Amino acid sequence: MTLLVGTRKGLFSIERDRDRWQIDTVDFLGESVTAAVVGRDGATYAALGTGHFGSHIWRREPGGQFAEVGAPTYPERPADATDVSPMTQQPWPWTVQMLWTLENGPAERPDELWCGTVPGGLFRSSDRGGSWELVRSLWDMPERTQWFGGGYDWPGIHSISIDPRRPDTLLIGISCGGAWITEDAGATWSATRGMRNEYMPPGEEYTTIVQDPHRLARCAAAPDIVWNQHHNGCFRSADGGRNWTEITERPPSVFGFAVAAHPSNPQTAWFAPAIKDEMRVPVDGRLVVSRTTDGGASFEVFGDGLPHEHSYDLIYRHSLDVDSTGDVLAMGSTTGSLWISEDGGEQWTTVSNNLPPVHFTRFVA
Amino acid sequence: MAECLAAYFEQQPQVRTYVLDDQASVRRHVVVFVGSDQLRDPVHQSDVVNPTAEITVMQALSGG
Repeated sequence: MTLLVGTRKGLFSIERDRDRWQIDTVDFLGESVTAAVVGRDGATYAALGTGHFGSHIWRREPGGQFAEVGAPTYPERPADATDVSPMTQQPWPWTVQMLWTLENGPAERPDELWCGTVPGGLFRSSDRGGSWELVRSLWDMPERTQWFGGGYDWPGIHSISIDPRRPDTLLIGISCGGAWITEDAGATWSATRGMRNEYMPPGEEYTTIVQDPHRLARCAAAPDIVWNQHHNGCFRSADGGRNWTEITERPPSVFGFAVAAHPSNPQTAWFAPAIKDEMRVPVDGRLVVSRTTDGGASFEVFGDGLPHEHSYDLIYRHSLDVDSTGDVLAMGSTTGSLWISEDGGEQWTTVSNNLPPVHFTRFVA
Repeated sequence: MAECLAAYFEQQPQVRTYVLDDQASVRRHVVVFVGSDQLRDPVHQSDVVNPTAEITVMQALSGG
């Protein structure tokens, strides 16, 4: 098993060598690697956000070398386009600012890939990344122009989850634009319901299209169960993301970015809580992971092996991952630390404290 | 300038998306010089270029 760690300055492959995990290889040293996935074809796909020269995707065949393939590109912005940011009134850029997530298509379509971007476009490739097409049905929705940026100036699609039982059913998460579901492979979209925010004026708490789900994670074996770490708390869905139920009590805090869903146990998930909003650091400078094993009714807090004081590590949305057994977890921080647990998140060991800021961790076969 | 760049991209098509963004504007952190003068119209590259001019495309001293 390999752990891919995407960082501000390269893609690191982490391997377990006898009794410890260590860095095996570094690809794209110096480049920001914002997303990666191993396709159903066995190839590794890496999304690069080169500092000066735009966003690009590279593919490595098993045993081969990385080579550049196609990348999502927005169509020409129509001269009569009127889409402006509801916050800044600036015209929407029809230009990729970041390739934020890469995901496989369904098992039935092994050549299919999906990519979520800032400023909010969803792209699909049907030819292993050779070419990409903007999903116009989503981009052309009037509601899209009401989405707005959170951490970035423009909104972005950070979560794409296919229902493994239904190849045409996709759930996507947008900061800040809510979560949307399609049951016809992207032809039509419905906003999902039940999320609550505290950052909009009174009366807008439940407005679907201004919600800020930070990350969605689906239970692979029970695909109706989806966990949602939202800006204002934690939510769980028991109907594939169509409706969300808030989990209001989660020590040490309900804020955070990351969530990992147990691959087979629908009652179990992990979170990396932090403080919001004026400063975003671990509560009391103590980095912990919160785990529920009863569907969110209660949580255990684990910090063994993680820094107990003066920790300013923030775990960003793609940086907490669990392997296919549900036992091994990896967590990377914005200050360049990487930890692994092999007992379901109870005890952690440090792989490195000296990496570049971590964008994502992802276990691959 | 747009014609000059297009001629170059015809020979080196993989360079295009590194220099121009999705809307065919010069990327924000890329800079183009004609001789020692900076390109005036990075959006449409309408600057008139002398046939013997030397064009330099490089990373801007920004971003990254």
